[in-house]
Amino acid sequence: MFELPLVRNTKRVRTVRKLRYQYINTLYQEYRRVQSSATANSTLPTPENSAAEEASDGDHDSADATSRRRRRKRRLLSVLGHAETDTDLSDAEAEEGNDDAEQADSEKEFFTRHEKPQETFEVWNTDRQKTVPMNTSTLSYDTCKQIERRAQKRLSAGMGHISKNADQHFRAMRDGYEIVAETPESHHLAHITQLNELLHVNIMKGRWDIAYRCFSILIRLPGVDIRSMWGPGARILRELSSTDKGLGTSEEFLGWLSGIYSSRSNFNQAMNFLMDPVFRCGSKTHTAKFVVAWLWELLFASCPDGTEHFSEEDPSNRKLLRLIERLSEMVLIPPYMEDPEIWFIFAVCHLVSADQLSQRFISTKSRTSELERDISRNQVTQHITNAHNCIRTCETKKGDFSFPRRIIEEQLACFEKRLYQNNDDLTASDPESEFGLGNEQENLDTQNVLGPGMSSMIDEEDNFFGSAEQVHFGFDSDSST
Amino acid sequence: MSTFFRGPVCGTDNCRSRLWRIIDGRRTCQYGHVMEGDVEFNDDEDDINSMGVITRRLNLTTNATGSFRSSMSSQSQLNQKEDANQKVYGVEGERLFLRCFQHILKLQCTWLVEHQNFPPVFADVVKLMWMRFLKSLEVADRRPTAGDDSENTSTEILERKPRLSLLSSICLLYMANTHLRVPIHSCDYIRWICSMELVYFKANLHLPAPWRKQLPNYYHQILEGGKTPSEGQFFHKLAHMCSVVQVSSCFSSYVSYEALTLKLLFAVKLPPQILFDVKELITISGDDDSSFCLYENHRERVQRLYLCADLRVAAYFILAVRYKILQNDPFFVNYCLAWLEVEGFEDSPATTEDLVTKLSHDAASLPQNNHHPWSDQQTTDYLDWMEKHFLPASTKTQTETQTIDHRIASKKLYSMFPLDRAPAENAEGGATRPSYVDKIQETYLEISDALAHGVRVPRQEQTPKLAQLTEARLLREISYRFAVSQPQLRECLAHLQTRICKTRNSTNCAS
Repeated sequence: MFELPLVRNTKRVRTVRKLRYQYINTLYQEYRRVQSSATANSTLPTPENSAAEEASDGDHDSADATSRRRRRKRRLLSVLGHAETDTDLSDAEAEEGNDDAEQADSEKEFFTRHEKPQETFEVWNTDRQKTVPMNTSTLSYDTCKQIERRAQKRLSAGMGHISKNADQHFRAMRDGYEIVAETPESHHLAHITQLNELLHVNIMKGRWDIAYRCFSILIRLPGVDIRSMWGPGARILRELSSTDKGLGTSEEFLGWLSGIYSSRSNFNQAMNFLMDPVFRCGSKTHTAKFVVAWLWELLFASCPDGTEHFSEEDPSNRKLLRLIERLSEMVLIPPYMEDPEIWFIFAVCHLVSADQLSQRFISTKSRTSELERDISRNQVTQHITNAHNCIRTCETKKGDFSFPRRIIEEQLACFEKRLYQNNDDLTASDPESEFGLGNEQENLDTQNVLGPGMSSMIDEEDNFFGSAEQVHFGFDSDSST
Repeated sequence: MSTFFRGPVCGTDNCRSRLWRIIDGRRTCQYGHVMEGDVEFNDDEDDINSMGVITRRLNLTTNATGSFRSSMSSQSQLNQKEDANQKVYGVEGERLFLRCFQHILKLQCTWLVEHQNFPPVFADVVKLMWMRFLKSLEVADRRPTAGDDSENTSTEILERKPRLSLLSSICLLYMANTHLRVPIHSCDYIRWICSMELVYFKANLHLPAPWRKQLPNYYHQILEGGKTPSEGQFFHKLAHMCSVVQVSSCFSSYVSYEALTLKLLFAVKLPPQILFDVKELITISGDDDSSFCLYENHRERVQRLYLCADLRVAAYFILAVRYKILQNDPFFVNYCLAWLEVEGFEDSPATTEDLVTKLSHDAASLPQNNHHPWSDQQTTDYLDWMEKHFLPASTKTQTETQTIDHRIASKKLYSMFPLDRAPAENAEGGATRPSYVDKIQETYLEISDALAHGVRVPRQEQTPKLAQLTEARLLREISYRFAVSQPQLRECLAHLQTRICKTRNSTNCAS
């Protein structure tokens, strides 16, 4: 019923997979042949459609493309007069070309025409401008059957030696049937299936104790990949770790995952199939989801409750500082560098610390010395600047990550206002700080702060994240000012 | 001779070469330009680093006697790595496989003697059987080579494949205990292997490490157990093994049907009187002791499963129940009505082992098992079993194969998810868990309660329907215990029925 947290890579699966892509590709080729002959008769070649065809040719028939590339290379070499002189080179090149031809397997060919699954994972293209008109050209039943028959014929040569089971699977798939979940092959697998089912059922029922037991047994079994089941684990720990001190916290668990499974490797589509790639682990181009989850969780944990007032020795403050430090290191390396969500988290971190620091101006203004106040004022400004920077970077990154920018900027303005108000009070009592104040104001001006009138614009997007933070920021600052 | 490696574009005289080689210690591009300048030396070093020179850090640790051991251990590790790749194939591999099989057989015997109180002589009998089996391989081998030279026989090349699976080991055990008249039957063995108490699934992990490394993968597959036996695989194998070992020639092969009937009786919770009815039925049908012997079959598959003693007894048992109902015995009909009424008993076998056996069998045979929602007690039982039997059995050698980083990581993970989270709670649960006898008593009590409360007046015409229902349920209950499918058991039933009819007719004619 539920997906198994195992990578099942049997020979049958591999064969059928290969056949599937081969079949699709041959179908596509046949279809193109039929279409092109049809279109050639109907319309004269225009510069537009011939250009499009050429472009698509280059894209699609990678085998063709490689051969063409090789031809061009050889021609270039002959022009330069080096083709015959250096056998080593031509050997090496030929080898490379061969490799390409081998590697240009049907799957790769397929994916040159389509978006790769890891790129479309949880990407919802709702933009109307990006819509593509539907392909309205029709095909007669007869032609369709003919194409199918031809593709089958071409494929049948390679299907002579595959097992009966694989053949059946392939036939079923080709005819459009879905294969029901297979019975688990071995005793071992049968029980892992059962355990997995118990885990999910008990999570749904909210029986965390039993779910915990299932999970703790499951992760100890060989062959079970924790990367495909960390979600339930983190959830279970969040439920149970508050009552039971013997367990780790979900924060620790996610931290462990982020530490163990690096995202420095390139994601190889051909190796890691059967699993949803991005959700499962990270790569050089994708941030692993558990890393994001971990950062959010760290951020939540480092936010103060709001009731107690700020102090240097506050553990949450230290946590926040450590988190900011970690993030500043993370955004220097590839997958996180390009991820807008990481930048957004970074911005929120700065926002929270600016909030905490600026609160000091309201609550304990009489007790702090002038020097301390100066230092913290600088800190606040720094954090606010950083937050602005991060948000700007976040927006420049690709990917449609949307967030209520206006609200955040308003918050930042609010924090700055705190400083300003305090300084107003202080200037009345303490003329010595005027110099510093002037600087501050200049700073404020350069940062293009939104006016206080903006606060009325807080709209229904307030609950955009559904998180406690958002509420906490808004009301906390409102009540305190 | 020379090997090129890629580097920066040469650029001398617009040279576009990127390939370099070292001639006389100088980097020379493919068209003969020599790379020059001190600056290149730095680059050179970097390049060499990036080209895969491995730097090592010596972690010097001391052993118990205080001497450094890092280099020693690394050397031994290298040696081990070489050994790991040395799989043994061919005749050697086959011999190793037989040795491994023997090892597993020994483990199984030890477990039976230690945990199930088998007589110590049991191991000897199994050994005798095993020797006979090996001998049969040799005999089969000699026959074709007898015409040729006698050299081949001396080198003991096994030309015939032994065709062993782990089920063969169970067959040997069963044959031995039948010879010793130990009241253990196929259903017990199937229960033990499914609940992983007897070494069966993942048996390859129990082998000594050097053997495990040398054994080819296809033999590993055999010794892993794979699927749960189903569709009467066990009985096919048993009959074949019996004929190979030639049990009937020098061993006692009589299966005591009384013990098996009693066992079935308690398993399905029918009144004990049935035992006598079964015995009577067997005498009426004209079967004597000889028809409850281990069936021998030289083929791989048994066409007539009713010849297997265990299944025959099971079929007689179901038949007896059917006839009893059709006789319209008032007590028994009432009992069966109550028995059918008691809810949930079918889905909740009395013991964890039964539960696991049923689950394994269902998973192996049914294409899509409809999952009954388990009760809390069942879930806990199952998880306990997972923890106590399944987990240790499947992770037996895991730590050996892991690297040290892997081990540290998993240790950290496991400390976040400790297994025994609340020991106090567990102990309490263990204390309150009813024993096997308690559970059986409870079920019988439940049925008798149902008997006492509801007063049923069974009508004449309802009895065939009742017999059908009871039979269907018995088939479901019994088939998984013997790892046969329901149609197979039904077939046995049908055969015995026609047989009994025939004997009745003949006796009627004679009288």
